[in-house]
Amino acid sequence: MIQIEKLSKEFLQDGKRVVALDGIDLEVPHGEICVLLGPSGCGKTTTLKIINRLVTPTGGRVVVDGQDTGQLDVIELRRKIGYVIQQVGLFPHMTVEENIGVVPRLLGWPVEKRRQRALDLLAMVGLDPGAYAGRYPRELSGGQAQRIGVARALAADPPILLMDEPFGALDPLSREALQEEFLTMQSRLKKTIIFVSHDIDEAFKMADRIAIFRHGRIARQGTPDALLAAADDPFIESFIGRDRALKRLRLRRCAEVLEICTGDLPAGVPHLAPHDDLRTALSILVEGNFDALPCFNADGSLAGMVRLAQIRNLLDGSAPREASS
Amino acid sequence: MVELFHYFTGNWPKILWLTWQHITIVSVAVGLAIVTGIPLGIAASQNRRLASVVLYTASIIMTIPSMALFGVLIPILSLINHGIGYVPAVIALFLYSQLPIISNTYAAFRSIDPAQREAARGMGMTRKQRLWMVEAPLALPVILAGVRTAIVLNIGIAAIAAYIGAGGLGLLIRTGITQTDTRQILAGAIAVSVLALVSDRLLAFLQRRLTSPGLVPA
Repeated sequence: MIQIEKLSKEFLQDGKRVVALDGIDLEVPHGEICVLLGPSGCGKTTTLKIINRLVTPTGGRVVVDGQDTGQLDVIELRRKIGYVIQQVGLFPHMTVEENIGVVPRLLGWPVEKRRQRALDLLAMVGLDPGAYAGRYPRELSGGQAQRIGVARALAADPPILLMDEPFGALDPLSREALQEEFLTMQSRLKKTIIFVSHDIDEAFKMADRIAIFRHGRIARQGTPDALLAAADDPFIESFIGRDRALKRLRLRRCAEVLEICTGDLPAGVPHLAPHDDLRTALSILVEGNFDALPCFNADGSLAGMVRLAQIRNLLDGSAPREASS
Repeated sequence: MVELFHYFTGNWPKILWLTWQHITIVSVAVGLAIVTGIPLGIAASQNRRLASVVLYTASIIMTIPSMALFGVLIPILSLINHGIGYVPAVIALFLYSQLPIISNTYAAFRSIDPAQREAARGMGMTRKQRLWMVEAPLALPVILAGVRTAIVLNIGIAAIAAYIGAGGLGLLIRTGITQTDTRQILAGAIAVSVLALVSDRLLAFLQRRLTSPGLVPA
């Protein structure tokens, strides 16, 4: 668990005092992804860098698993925190395998163990270990390089991962792919992750919890669904946009609204699957002017019906309202 | 032409000895310059004020004609009885080596991608580890290019050091001029050129071998 308490950061720029952070309070429970969301210059990256002490705060503290990070040895602290940055920062003179093995090497792992770990991680991030272990960073595409950036951060199995717009420089296709794969990995790894992003869609997709930054403060924080459901909040309205109903539906799956099928199944209609998100389901429903569509499991058995009325109910207010300001 | 060939065959032990002297003067001077120049270059890359002072001074030294520099060194070094010969030659060449070595080291360290520095820091490398595991290997090719320039440059300048009694292949040229013996002048000039070319090739080879394959553009 990461606890951020009353963090503040001021610095002098051209003789003027600039407040970068103004009393940040945030708690990230073990195994969750917390996205720090906001425009550039709002303090989210500064907050991230204070956690691994690349930046020293002017006030407040960061507590990791009960320990004040300010009291720990800075080198040891950083080796226990995985760090992924947008520019990746792979070392061009090292092979992929050597890049992944940097932190294990710093920790004094034997060569064989380092090698095995690198190969395992390559497979985990979806790259063929045989083909990529011996390559140099200049021989990689942007997406491949960032996969290795993620593998490198995970090399010594740190409990915490800090990610600074990790997929921000990628083309939309690789970005989507990496987001999906990363979430799949995270469902197994259960790391505690702080993820900086300025992309609202990415934030709502990746986050268990979102902190919206504005001018060095956290303007709102909460679960994605709670933030999207806060219909009466003008700040969220303007920040997230007026299509937030669709954004919410994208976070929900058909499996959540299934109803038992009564009567005959309509013939010749499109089928849904339980893991389809509700935005997709809505689109198909509206497009074909259906009131309901059948949803089938992967094995071909009927899972239930997805009804338009049920989707509307979900948006109407049954959702939890725990967005706090 | 034939006469020149005969001069080489008839005097090869002398020519080899002078070549050896030449190599020693240059190696000692450049060796010392590496020991001082690389740390200075690194320090300059981290301190803008130091950088301007160091690079400016090194550039000024470079503009002093070699004969003038030898001339300046003679009275100073006479105080410790080394006004002429080996010592002033090594010192002059040492000074001329500073600019290529310092400026290349400076440029090499300045051009390291900040993202790589940040990654290294964020992963928990100590200052020393950052230097040896990341910065030095990245800077090495450019530093070696500077050393190569310094060596080739100094092989030429060392030929002039024969005038202050430092020996080396310049001796052939000097005696050739005083005795109006074209064979000796040519022999000396050719030997110096060959030495410079061979050194350059050897160092280029060394540079390639010491550079990570990851840094060579495809």
